[in-house]
This record gives sequence, structure tokens and C-alpha cells, in this order.
Amino acid sequence: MTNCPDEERCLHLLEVILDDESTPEAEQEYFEHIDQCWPCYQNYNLEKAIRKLIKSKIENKPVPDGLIKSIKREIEKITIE
Amino acid sequence: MNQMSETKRKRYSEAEKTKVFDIEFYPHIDSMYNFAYRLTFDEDDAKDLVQDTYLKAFRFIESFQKGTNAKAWLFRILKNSFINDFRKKSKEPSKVDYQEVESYYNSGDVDKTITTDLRVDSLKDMMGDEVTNALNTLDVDFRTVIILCDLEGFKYDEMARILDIPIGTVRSRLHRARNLLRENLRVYAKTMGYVKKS
Ligand SMILES: [Zn+2]
Repeated sequence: MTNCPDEERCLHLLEVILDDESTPEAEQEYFEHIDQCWPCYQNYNLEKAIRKLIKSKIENKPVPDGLIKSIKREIEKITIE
Repeated sequence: MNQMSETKRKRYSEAEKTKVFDIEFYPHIDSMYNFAYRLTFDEDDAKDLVQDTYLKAFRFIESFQKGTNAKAWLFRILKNSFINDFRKKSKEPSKVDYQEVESYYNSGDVDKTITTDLRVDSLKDMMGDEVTNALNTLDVDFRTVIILCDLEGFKYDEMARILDIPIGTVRSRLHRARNLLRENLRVYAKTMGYVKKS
């Protein structure tokens, strides 16, 4: 397995691309690069999997019953004052 | 319209306030509550923080411009409330401030991505608790950027406004946060025997 000559830069680029904050040019450059760079291709898959993991496995807590109601009540108090 | 003064033009009527709250503010309560909970790790505290945020939103509604990102505006208030009113009295041991954390992590190898032996298949069997713990054990400042970006889908510029930091800092903090998260996940993967012990 060969190393990537510029792995650190590629990783930064990958992050920005997955965050959807990149440019089409940078994206093209990156995807052309990972076609021929095994470590970067692996990093790409891993990073994507981690993002997916975070989104799918971290559960949301349900909002407690009556929270909006109690906020509305408090707001009403301010309005009356 | 033009003759109206700035303040008059912005003023919300009571009916408009109610409308803004119902249409633009309350739909975010789920995200807000979960953000609050992930900051405080306490259901009652999270509730208080959310309620506080909405009351402030009501008080300062004149500074909210219709048509702008209500969610980002609310998150900013919540985060400020957490820092100003909450962090002081919270049970969490006092944390070093942003600057210190930033320079500490800038100094070392943490900025460099840990290219781990973590593998995609090792993530498949990871439990929700483990992933949650991997996130929750991060320092609050790092936890926050992961929540905002990866869970709530905020853009860098929105995060910059929510956190009152430059976009460059958002990016570097995110990068470090993700490195640390990876490292935490790696620990779980290791206990499951997925990564070879080195
Ligand atoms: Zn490469």
C-alpha cells in the first residue's frame, strides 16, 4: 500500500467536501485524486461512514410534554406586565 | 414605507409576534431541546435553558429580521444563555475558555488527523450509547461544533454567527473535534476487537 504524498491536505479537503462547503473545482480535483490514491479512498469511505454513524446512532430525546405550553404561559405573563 | 423610521418599520404587532413564534420559532423546539440537553446533560436544565431562550427571543424579537434564519438566531441565544447564565452555576467542572482550548490544541499533534486503523466495518456494530458517549465526552466547545454541523446541519457561516467566532476558527475547531471524536470511536472499536492492539 502506497502512501499519499499529501494526505493531510486531502483530509481537510474531504471534510469541506462532505460539509458541502467546497467548490466544484476542488471537488473534481479531490475525486480524481481518490480514484488513484488508495489511502485517500479509504479515508473517504471511513469519513462518510462516521458521518452516517453519528446521524443514525445518536438519538434525539423527546421534548418534554407541555414545554411549549409553559413557555407560552411565561410569555403571556411578560405581555401582561 | 420609506418615511417610516427604522424602529417603526421593524416593530412587530402582538399578532405578528405570535405568528413568528408559531411558524418560525416553535418548530425548532426539538433541535433546541436536544442541543440544550447535550450541553447540560440534565433534562430539567435543558428545559430551563430552552424556556429561557424562547423568553429572550420574545424580549429581543425586534432584533430578529423576518426571513432570516430563525433556527440560527435561536441557537445563538441558547448558546449565549448557556455560557452566560448557565455554565457558571452548572455542575460541570469549570472548563478552560475557548482561547486556551484553541491554543492548547493548536500546539500539538491534535491538529494533524490521526489516520487510525479504524475501519468502516468496525463502525457497523457500534451501539448508539457508544457513539453518544464518544460525542459526550468531548470538551463542550468541540462537542458543540459537531452538534451544530453534523447533527443540525448548520453551514460554516451560520456556525460562525452562532458561536461568534471567525469562519476559519469554525473550520479548525471542527477539524480538531472530528479528530478527537474519531479517536474516541477508535477506543470503542478496539474494545470490540476490531482494531488490532498495537
Ligand atoms: Zn491521497
